[in-house]
Amino acid sequence: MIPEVLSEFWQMLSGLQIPDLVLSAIAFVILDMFAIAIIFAAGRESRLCQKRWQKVSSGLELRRHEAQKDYYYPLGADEILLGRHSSADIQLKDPSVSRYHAVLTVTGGIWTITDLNAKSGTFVNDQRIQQKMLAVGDCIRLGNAKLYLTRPPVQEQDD
Amino acid sequence: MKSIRRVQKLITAMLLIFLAAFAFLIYRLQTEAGFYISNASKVSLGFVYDRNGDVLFDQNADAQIYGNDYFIDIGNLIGDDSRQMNNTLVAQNIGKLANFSFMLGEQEDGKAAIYCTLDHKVNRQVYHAFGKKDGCAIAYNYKTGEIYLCLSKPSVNILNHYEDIASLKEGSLLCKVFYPTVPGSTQKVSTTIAALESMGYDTLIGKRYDCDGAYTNQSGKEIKCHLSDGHGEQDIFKAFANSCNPFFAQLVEDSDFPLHDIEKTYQKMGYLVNGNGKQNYLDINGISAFTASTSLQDKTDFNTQWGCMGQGETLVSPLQLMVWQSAIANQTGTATYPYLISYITKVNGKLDFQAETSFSSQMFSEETAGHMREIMLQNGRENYSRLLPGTDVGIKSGTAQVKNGEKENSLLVGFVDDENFPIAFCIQIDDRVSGEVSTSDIAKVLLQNLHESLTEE
Amino acid sequence: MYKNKLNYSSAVILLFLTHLSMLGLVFIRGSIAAPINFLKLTGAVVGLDVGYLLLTLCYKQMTYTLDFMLLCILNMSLIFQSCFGGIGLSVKHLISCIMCLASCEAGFLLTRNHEWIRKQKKYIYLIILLLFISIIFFTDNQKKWITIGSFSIQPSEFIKPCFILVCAASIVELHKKLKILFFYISKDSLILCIVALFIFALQWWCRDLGSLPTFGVIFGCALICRFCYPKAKLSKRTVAIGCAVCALILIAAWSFAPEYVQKRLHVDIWADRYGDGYQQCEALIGIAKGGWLGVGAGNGSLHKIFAHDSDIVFATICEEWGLLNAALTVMLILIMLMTVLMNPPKNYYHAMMTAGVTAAFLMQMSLNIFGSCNLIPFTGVTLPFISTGGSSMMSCGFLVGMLKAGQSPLFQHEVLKRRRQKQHQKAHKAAQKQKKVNA
Repeated sequence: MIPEVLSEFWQMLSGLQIPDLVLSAIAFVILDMFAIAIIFAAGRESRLCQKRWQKVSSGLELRRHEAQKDYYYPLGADEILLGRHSSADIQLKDPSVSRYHAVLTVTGGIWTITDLNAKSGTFVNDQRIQQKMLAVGDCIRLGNAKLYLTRPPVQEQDD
Repeated sequence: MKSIRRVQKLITAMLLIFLAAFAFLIYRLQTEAGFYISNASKVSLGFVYDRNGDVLFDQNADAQIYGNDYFIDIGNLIGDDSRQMNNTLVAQNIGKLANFSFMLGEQEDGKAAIYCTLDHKVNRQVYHAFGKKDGCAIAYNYKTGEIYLCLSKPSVNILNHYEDIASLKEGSLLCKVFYPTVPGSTQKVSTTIAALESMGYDTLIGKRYDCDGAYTNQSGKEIKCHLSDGHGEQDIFKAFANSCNPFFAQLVEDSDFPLHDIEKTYQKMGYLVNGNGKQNYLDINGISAFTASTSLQDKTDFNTQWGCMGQGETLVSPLQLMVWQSAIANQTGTATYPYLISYITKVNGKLDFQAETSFSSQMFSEETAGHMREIMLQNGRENYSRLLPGTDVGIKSGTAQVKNGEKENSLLVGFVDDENFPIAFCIQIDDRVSGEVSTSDIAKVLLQNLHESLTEE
Repeated sequence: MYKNKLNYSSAVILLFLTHLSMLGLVFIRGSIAAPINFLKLTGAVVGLDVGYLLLTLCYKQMTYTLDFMLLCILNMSLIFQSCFGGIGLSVKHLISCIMCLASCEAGFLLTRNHEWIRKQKKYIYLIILLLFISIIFFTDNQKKWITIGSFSIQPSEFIKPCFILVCAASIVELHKKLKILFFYISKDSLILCIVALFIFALQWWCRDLGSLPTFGVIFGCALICRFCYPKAKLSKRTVAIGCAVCALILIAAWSFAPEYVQKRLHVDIWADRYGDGYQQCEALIGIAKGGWLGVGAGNGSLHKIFAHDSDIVFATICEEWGLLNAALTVMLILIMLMTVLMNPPKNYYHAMMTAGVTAAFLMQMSLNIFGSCNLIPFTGVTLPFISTGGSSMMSCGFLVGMLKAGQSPLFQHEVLKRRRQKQHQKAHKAAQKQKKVNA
C-alpha cells in the first residue's frame, strides 16, 4: 500500500511543470512554517501569561502535610473549590471534609476563603470563619485536613 | 485547575473527533475519486473483457474495428457509458472503470479494466440460435457462481449510439433475465419442493390423483389440463414430467399440504408472498435482479392454485429460476449466488477486486434437494436425453400465458448432472407458436457449445 | 514593538510570505485575464496585512497569535474568493474581512473582563430577544435574511456569540439553587434551558436546520460542563432523566421531522444527480478534478454552481487549489482553536466560553465540509472565515475575539486600579486648575 502511494506520488511530481511544482512546494512549506512559528509564539505567550498570573495570584500555593509527605497544590484559577468530591479542584480524601467544603477566590493578589456551609466548618489559624482574607503562612483547616498557604521558593527566571 | 482542565479535555476530544472525521474524508475522497469523476461529462474508461479476453466494452468502439453486430448480444447486459440504461454492468461499475486516480488525475493509458465471467462466443451463438424469436437465456456454474452466458433479445446495438432508439422494439433496453416474468409450469419445481418439505418424500410419492383433462376444484372452478383427454392416474414423477395441472391443483388442495407450509417454503426461497414485507432483489455486481413474488390466499381458491402452477399473480425472474437449480443440483438446499465480474484491475494495473463464491441461507433441506434432483433428472432422462448426449440433465419445462392468455412464453430450466460441467440454466422464448424454434433446441446449442468452449480451456 | 514585549518578527515575516507565495501561485498557475485585477488583489492583500499589523502594534493585550492567525486565514480566504471563476478582487469579501477583524476586536474588548460581562447577562438576554423579534417580524419569506437596501443581514448568526455568553454565565452561577419538587434547579439554568428551547423552536420554524446542530452542540457543551461543575450537585437520577429526555427528543425529532428533512436525511445524491443532489455531485466531481494540487486559481468549473462561494466553498477551493491546500487551511483554523489548549484560561467563565466557541466552529466546519462531501446530510451552512457573507464573518470574528479574551483576560482589580489612577489624575488636574485660578 505505502510503496504504491509513494510511487504514484513520484509520478505526480514528475508529471508537473517545474515552476508549478516549485512554487506549490514553497507555498506549502511557508504555510507550515507559519503554523509552526505561531505555535512557538503561542508557547512564549503562554509563559508570559503564566508569569502575569503569578503576579495576579501572588504566586502562592497550598501545601498539605500528610503521612510525612508534603503535597503541593498550585493555585491556577481565580476560583478554586476544596472538597472531598472528585470533581473538586483540590480533592481532600478525608471523611471529615464535606464534598464541597470551601472555595478560594483571588482579587488583586489577595486570596479569600469562603465556607460553603460545611458541617465540620472551616478554620483559619484555629478560628472558625465564614469568609476570611488569607495571608502567607496561614493554616486552613477543613475538618481534619490541614492546608498551609505558602510561597514557593523563588525559581530562576529566564529573561 | 481541575475544572478548567476538564474543559480543555472536552475541547481536545472535539478537536480529535473532527480530525478523525477529516482524515476519513480525505481517505474517502482518495478512494472514490474514480467514481466521482466517472459522473463528469467525459472521462477515459477502461475495457471490459470476457473470460477469454474478448472485448465486451470499449468506450471508443466503432463498427469498423469490431464489426457491426459484435456487441449486439450483450447490449443490454454490459451496456455502455451513455446513461441510456442504468441497470447494466458498465453503468453500475463505471467508477471502477474510470482511468483516473486522485493523485495522478486522468490517464488515457490507464489499466483499469473489468474481467467478466461471460463467454462471449457462446453467448453470441445462443443469441443467434433464437433466430427470429425474442427471449432470454442465462447459464452459470452452480458450484462457483460464474455466469457464463446471459442474453436478452431484442437487444440494442450500442454501436448505433441510440440513433435508432425510436424504432427499437419494446424491452430492448432491459435485460429480461433480471426482470419478473410469468414462470408457467417451471413454478411446479417450487411447489414440489414445498410439498416435499411439508409432507416428506414418502407421503408425496404415495399421492395419486386422477386427471381426465379438466378438474373442478373445491370452489367450483375448472382447471384444465393441456392434454384434453387427460393423463389418467399419476404419481408425482409422472405428473411432474407431464406438467399436469389437475394433479397439482389436487395436490395443493390436499389436507396433508397446509397452505401455511407452502407460504413458509416460498418465503425461504425468496418469494414475496401476498405483498407482506419488502420485495427481495439479488445484487449481481451492482445489477439489481428481481427474485420472485406470488399471492396465496386460500388453498381451494382458483387463483392460489393457479399461482402454485406459475400463472395468476406469480412472477419470477429467469435468473432466480436458474439460481434455485443450484440449490437442487448441489443437493444442499442453499443456492450459489451468481456473479458476472471475475476480477477488476485498478488504473495502475493492480488487482482491485477478486470474486468469491457465496451462498444463500438454507432454502430447503438437503433431503428435499436430493429428491427434487431425482424427480428432475428422471424427467430429463425420459424426455430430454438428446440435450447433451451421455450426460444426465435435470429439466423442467413450462408454458406461461401472458397478456391474458393471448400469447404463450415457453420456458426451460435445468441443470447438468456432471461434476466437470456443473451448469444450471434458464431459457425463455417469448410468444412461441408450435413448430418454431423450441427452448430445448436452444438448450442444446447452449450446452453443447458451452461444453466445447469450457473443455477447450 | 508589541506591547507584551515579545518578538514576533518570524511569525510576521512568514505571514507575509504565506500570502505572497499564494499570490505567486495565482500568478503562475492561475488564468489572469487582466493584469490590473491581479494587481488590485495583490494591493488589497498586502494592504490589509500591513494595515492590520500596524494596527496591532497599538493593541494592548497579552497575546497576538490569534490576531496573526485570523489575519492569515482572512487574507487566504480573500485570495480564494477573489479567484473563483477568474481573477478579480472581491471587494465585498474584502469589506467582510475588515468587518470580521473589527468585530474580533469588539468581541475581545467586551468579553475580556469576565466579571463585568457576567453582570451584563440581562442585556445579552435582551439582545437575544431583539434578534428573535427581528427574525420573526422582519425577515424575508425564507426567514433568514433582513434586507436593508443592498445589504442583507442574517440575525441568527448573531445569536451564536450571545448564546455562548449566556451559557457560560449560567454555568458559572449554578450554585444559587432552589429546590423545586425533587430537583435542585438554579434560576439561571432554567432560563438558559428556556432560551435554548426557544432558539431551537425558532430554527425549526425558520427551517434553518443548518444552525440547529451548532446551537445544539453549544448547549450540549454547557450541559456537559454543568454535569462536571463542582457546585452542581447532580444526582444519578437527574442525569438519567436528562439522558432519557434527550434521547426522546432526538427520536421524536427524527421520526416527526417534516418530509423535506426526511428526504434530506436519506437522499442518494447520485440517483438524483440533477435534482437535490446536484450541488453535492458537482462538488465531489470538482474535488476529484482538483486532485492534490488543484487545477490552478480561476481555472475551476464549480463557480457556475449555486452557492459555490458559501455552502460548497470547500469543494471550490479543493478544485482550484487542491485538497492539500484546502486541508492546510482547515488545519490552520484548527491550530487557531488549539492555542486555547496551549494557553488555558484562568477562570471558569472564559474556559466555558472557549469551549462553546470551539464547539460552534467545529460543528459549523463539520456541517459544511462533510455535508458538501456527502458524509452527512447537506444543510447549507457557511464555512467559518472562508465563505462569503458579512453576517457570518462578523459573528466568526466576534467568536475569535472571545477566544482571545480567554487568553488575555482583564482582571477586575486591574480595572479598579486603572479607574483609581484616572480619578487620581483627574483630581490632580482639578487641583492644579484650582491652583491656577487661585493664583
